[in-house]
Amino acid sequence: MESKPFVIPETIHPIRAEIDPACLGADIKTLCTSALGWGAAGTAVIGPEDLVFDDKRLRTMATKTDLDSMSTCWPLAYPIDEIKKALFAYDKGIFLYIDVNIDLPDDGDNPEHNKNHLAAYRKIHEIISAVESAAFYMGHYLAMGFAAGNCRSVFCMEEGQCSAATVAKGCTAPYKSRPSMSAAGIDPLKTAWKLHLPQPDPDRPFLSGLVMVA
Amino acid sequence: MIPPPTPEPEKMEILRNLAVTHGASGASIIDAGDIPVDPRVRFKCMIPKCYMSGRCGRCPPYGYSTEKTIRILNNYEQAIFFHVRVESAIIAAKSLSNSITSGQADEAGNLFSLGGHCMLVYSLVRMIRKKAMKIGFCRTEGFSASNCKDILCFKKKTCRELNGSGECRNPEMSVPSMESAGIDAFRLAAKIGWEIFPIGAQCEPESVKRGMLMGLVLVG
Repeated sequence: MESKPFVIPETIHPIRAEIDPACLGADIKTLCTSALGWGAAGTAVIGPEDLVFDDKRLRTMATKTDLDSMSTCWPLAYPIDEIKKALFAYDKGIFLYIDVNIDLPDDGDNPEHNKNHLAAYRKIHEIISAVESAAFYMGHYLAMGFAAGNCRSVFCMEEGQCSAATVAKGCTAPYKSRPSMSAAGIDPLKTAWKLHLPQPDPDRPFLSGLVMVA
Repeated sequence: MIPPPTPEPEKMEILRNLAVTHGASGASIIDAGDIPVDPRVRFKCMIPKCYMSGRCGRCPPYGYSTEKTIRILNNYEQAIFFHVRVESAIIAAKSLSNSITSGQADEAGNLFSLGGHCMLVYSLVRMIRKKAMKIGFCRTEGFSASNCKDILCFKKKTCRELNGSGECRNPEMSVPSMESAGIDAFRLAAKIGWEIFPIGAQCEPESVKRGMLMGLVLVG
């Protein structure tokens, strides 16, 4: 990360039964500032209604019921859970992006060997992870983060296949890997356009992430 | 649909007392309708992935969907909700997160100490369910804390329900955790007035007063 890493608060307060909307708004603002400090180039406060879904992709996920072939690419098809329904249960979130000054060709499921490419994907994962953790310790324990790219190429380069895709085996990078927004059925570029962010240029790589907070 | 009958208060009190006298730090009688079920809770087992996600037959993406949990809750009127206190020196110990994910015991013994607390929750759920049947309830449903693979099958390489004969090794003891079934145990505890803290891998014992593990038994 470019700036100081995430540090948990000295005192952690008990979880509240109900979140005060004013308090949530203030916490989101703090998280946006922190994200910029951790290396994000820009942030925007987002509501679930601002998310632009790629319904074709969601339909594909919904029809995937074979647990054995869950994880060729994040996310796993969630056979009995509906990600869109979960996302719409959130009140607010933080959409953020990083500056990428290199070309990022789509390597699909293949391991990412280019150090510069890897650094860019790692950076977005680390910022999302930090923002999600910070939200958690503020008492927003359902905070959920989405990064960019295929996590196998970032965290499991040496593995022949995704361990989480094998029945009865778990993820080799638990608590670190995040699904990309695209893999959750969200179109990041269209979402960024909807938020009127200055960055998105369809001809340039756009690495963005999302942390939904409740 | 015929609504489930309201359990007699005296019988519910017997079950609540049972929990407290056998190791629960606190227990409440709650209405099943007050139990919050939220699709985000199950997703929190998968995003980011918990080390046990996909490794235990009770944990997401397996186990009960939120819809199934709601259907189960609709069949009950009341429940016993209890908690077991865990000192912050154990549950927020610096080494604990690595010990849990690697399955390697730490020198301070925190992994096994936490496992013992989890086992107490499983035992209390089992005990309350058995007692409930004995005093006249005709059905029960139990929910525990943490995954059952590490608590009941720690020495086994894989969950037999997923990788083997398909049958659970401990069908009498094994129940899903509340979170795996989409029950928002944190919110429920906070609503009741229990002081519950968010505890994660970066926590330090000084950052939180204490931790707690919770169990739930529906009776009808």
